[in-house]
Amino acid sequence: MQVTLTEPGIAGDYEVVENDGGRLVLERKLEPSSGELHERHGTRGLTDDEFEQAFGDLSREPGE
Amino acid sequence: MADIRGGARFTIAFDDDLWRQEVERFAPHARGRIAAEAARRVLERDGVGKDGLAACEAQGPDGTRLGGWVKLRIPLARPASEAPYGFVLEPVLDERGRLALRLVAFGERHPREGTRSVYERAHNRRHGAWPTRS
Repeated sequence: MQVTLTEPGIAGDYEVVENDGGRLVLERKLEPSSGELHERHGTRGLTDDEFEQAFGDLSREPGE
Repeated sequence: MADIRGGARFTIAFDDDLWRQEVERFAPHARGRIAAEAARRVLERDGVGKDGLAACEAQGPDGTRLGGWVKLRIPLARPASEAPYGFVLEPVLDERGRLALRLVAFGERHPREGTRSVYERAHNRRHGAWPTRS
């Protein structure tokens, strides 16, 4: 669930990450999103095939 | 499909708003911020080769889903035990089909309880919500 706070200094969109009997823990939504960055800079992400072509030989570090 | 095999090194793109949120949330003399700023200077000058990159996991143990993105340890060129921070980067293509890597998140790779990792921050940038452990 997302909530919007309007109090000066903490105004913004937040995500409810915990609801402990009505005591809410909020974390601020991170913006810009990756999608917004694409719009801003005129880019797009890679398809799976394009990623494999360019980076398929990269190491993978499980557990990170 | 675009030909995106690219050269030996990749350009890194930095968005100003994102940099302020991810890096400048740390105090000016904090180790993490100093390391990120030093890394940016090197990356803007030299780019990065594949030997410095690793692929993010499609499904991480922390619930993150970052398949198709890559990561870079910070400080640069240090072994994992000496590089507590990381950049998560999204490979992007511009309108001319040029391939670059764009910074999406910066932070601690394995923070103490209660602090979001760089991978969780990247997940949020991508999916619009914090990851949920399965």
